[in-house]
Amino acid sequence: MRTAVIGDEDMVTGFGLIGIKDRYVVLPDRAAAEKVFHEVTSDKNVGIIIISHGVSALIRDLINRTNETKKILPVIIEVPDKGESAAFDPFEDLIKKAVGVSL
Amino acid sequence: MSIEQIKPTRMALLQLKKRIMLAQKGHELLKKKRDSLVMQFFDLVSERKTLRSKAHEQLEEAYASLMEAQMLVGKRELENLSLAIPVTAEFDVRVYNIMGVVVPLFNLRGKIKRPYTTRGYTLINTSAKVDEVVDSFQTLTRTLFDLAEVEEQVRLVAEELESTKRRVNALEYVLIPKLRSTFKWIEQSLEEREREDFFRLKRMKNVLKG
Repeated sequence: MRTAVIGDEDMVTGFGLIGIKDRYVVLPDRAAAEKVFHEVTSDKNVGIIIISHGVSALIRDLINRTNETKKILPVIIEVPDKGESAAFDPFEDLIKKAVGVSL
Repeated sequence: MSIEQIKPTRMALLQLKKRIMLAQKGHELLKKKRDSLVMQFFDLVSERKTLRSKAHEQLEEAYASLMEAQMLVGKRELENLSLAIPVTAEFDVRVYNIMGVVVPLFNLRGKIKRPYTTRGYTLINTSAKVDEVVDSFQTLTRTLFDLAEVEEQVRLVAEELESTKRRVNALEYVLIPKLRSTFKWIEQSLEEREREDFFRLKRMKNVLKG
């Protein structure tokens, strides 16, 4: 199983330096992001997708739909963009919905 | 079997009694499942929180050192270097079951942290800054793997929790009250019929006597 990285140039270079080969630069175009996302999710050998917040915000609906319909893989993990505040949290809504309060 | 179609007979009453008992048992079990899922969920959420902040810290560090290296070596050069590096971060997937929720676990093949000699670029021509960048991204990726596991668990358990909650509520507030009220209705109909019979008997007796 491989890991894929979708994000801006710097992020992609950084992960490239440790030997991740599936790297895609898509900002800031939604159509391109969609295309890359489809390509990555339909690849059965990609198990983890590391996606920057900048890209994931563009295709939020696609990500949600994939999460609902997929079997087990791929696991999508969102990370903040460079210089973005650490307060960013993609799970806040989900937790609120599940237990009724935000933690 | 819809409740409206039931005839007020003793047979139906007995059947209904069985159904109510079954529904209550199911309700009890689901409630237990819900409670233990909630506990799991809280554990997972706090674990996720620590991992998240750790990942964010490491991410910032990694970006900072990446920027320094870019200034020192140049963007193009770094990108070129990255092309020479052999593939890492390959992994196998196992699945694990939490209360009927199937979650993936990642098993790395080999280590993400690699010694300087096997990183795929020469130490002679590159700056020590590059080593730093690689170091920090290796640490970051390790954390991201753990985070990916835990976040996926949080997401899946949350989904299961929601559907379990819905089922508990459906049983508690819809099905069981409906069954109970039908039970009562049958009981009352039967009693009513008994009174009618009794009264008829009395009446017949009077008529025969008089």
